[in-house]
Amino acid sequence: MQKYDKLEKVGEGTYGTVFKARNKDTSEVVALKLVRLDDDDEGVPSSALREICILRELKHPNVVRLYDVVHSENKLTLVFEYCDQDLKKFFDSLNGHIDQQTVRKLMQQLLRGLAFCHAHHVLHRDLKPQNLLINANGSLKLADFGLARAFGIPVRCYSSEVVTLWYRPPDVLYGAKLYNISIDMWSAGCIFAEISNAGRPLFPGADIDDQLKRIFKLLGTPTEETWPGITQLPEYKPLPLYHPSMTFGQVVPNLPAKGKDLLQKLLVSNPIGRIDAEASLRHPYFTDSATY
Amino acid sequence: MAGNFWQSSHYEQWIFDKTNLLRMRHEDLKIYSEEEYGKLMIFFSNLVQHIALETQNNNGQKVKMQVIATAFTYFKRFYARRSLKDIDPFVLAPTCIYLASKVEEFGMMSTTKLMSSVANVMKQRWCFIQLEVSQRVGVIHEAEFIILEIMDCCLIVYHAYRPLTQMIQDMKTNGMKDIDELEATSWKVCNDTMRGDFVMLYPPHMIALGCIIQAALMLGREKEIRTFMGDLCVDFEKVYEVVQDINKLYTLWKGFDEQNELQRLIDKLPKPSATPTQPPVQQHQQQVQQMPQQMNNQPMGAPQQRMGHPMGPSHGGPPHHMAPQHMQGMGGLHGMGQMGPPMHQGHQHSGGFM
Repeated sequence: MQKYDKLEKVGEGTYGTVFKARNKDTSEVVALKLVRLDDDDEGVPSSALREICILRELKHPNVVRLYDVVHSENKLTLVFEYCDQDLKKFFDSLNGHIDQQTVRKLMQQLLRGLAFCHAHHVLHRDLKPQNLLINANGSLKLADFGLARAFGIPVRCYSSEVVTLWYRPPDVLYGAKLYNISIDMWSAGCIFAEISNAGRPLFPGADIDDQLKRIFKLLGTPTEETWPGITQLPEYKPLPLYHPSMTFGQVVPNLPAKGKDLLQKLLVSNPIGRIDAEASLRHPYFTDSATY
Repeated sequence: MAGNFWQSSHYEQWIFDKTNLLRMRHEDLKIYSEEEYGKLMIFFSNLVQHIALETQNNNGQKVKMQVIATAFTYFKRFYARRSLKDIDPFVLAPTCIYLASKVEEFGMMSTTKLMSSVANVMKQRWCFIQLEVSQRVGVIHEAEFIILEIMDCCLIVYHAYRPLTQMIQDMKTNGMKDIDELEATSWKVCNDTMRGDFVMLYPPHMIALGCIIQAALMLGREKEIRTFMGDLCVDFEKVYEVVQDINKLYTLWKGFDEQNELQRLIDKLPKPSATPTQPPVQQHQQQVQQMPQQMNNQPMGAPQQRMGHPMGPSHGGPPHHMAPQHMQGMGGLHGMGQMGPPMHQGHQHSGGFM
């Protein structure tokens, strides 16, 4: 670890502290993620292992690069490419205004990164603005593949910060355990709306019930007719039958019509009906240059 | 995750040609003949499998074949890069299961349970072997660190199970009849390939094809699969090499008389040449801290204490206090004959390829 000069603490990740650091030899700036090895029996935390496994195999301009894993004494340090900020901080710098060209560019990169991951059968399962990094060139990169677990997404991560529900699809909120790419597509939709509104979250629910109600007020409450099998989900509970009381025009007023159309294809309550990343990238919102 | 094999670390860093693999093992091959080394690996693959089956995860689930195959791939990868003296294989075996169960998202396993499983399995299955197994707390965590480093964090392994499933499915789609028997036998052969070097020599689809051909040969149904094989665009010379290697493995396995040979093989396990002078625990800590540097800087043959070495300072002597118990157990010797070929395991599908 003598190779790196720690510059400053950047944040707390799922399983350890993140520092900005400089490689003494190359003066390249990197992000160091220090993996906490707790005294319990877990050894190298599963979340860190998962991130190492995945990023060791995935190399794409829209996926954060893992340069190195350094073992020293009984610490493990992951060396990542450094990005100046995450999407959340980027929102803070906007003061409520964003141009639609930027929205499209960010969304396209998010979907390209996702399409690549999905083509490699990797699900992110915890997409949110804090996990999307933006570097000085405006490139967006998917990061933090650590939280995802096979046996359900934990409600708390190790730093005892409550994991946000805002980007979770209704099927997962109802306890569905069989995840597939549709979970990421829902999150991408929520983030799309949030970007287009310069950082105003689409469904900022306070708890699971509130989260579901907010979703269904926009999309309508699903029923066995619109979503066969919904009542069989492990944590299904009937909610008031909302009819869509808001239109997408009210929710994302700045988005052009084609963007609204794509958003509606992402935000579908029944996971089977959600568009996938490859198909999203072929949507006229991206391919039709006459959008603007 | 499944992903693309051709862009994977498995393909890029962990497929070797046979000559290279032998060269990488040259240090251990000074002690063992190639045949003996092969037999030792058959024993350790059985050990890994039995430890895994003995130890459930913290949800009380039985280990899947996929986890076992990944664990033993780690084991072989380690000893392709390092000598048997660098980490005691009786410590590395449970460590690989521990790591694989996390990587394959199977859930956590307790290191204490794993260590006691090693002792139990040895007592139950190999009671004629005299061996003292390290029970030191923390030894698996230390070994996990080292294996991660030696494997360069390449943890995703592509097994033949997935292409095998696809090929069998294709054969079904093409209208091949009575495929269940062929499928079951192919799976058994595939489980058996874990005991050889296949995962470090051939891409998974070639192993899968080799297993199907071998199964068809064993069942006398090779004519039936000819049409299917004819439609495939694949290097058949290489596939037949796989089939030959499978037969070599079976011959070696059949000729492996564990009761008469194993003790000698285990006694020959290379021991570190440095004589410990400090209390074992301190020494381990110090050693693990230094290990990564040592491993990078020292030539393979340099004196180095083997991690987790069970014998400690008195390693010259027989592990006497274990002996009487084991001798008594000799009467109940069974099961070992069943470990040999032909394949004894059930038809184990493993899911969870994601």
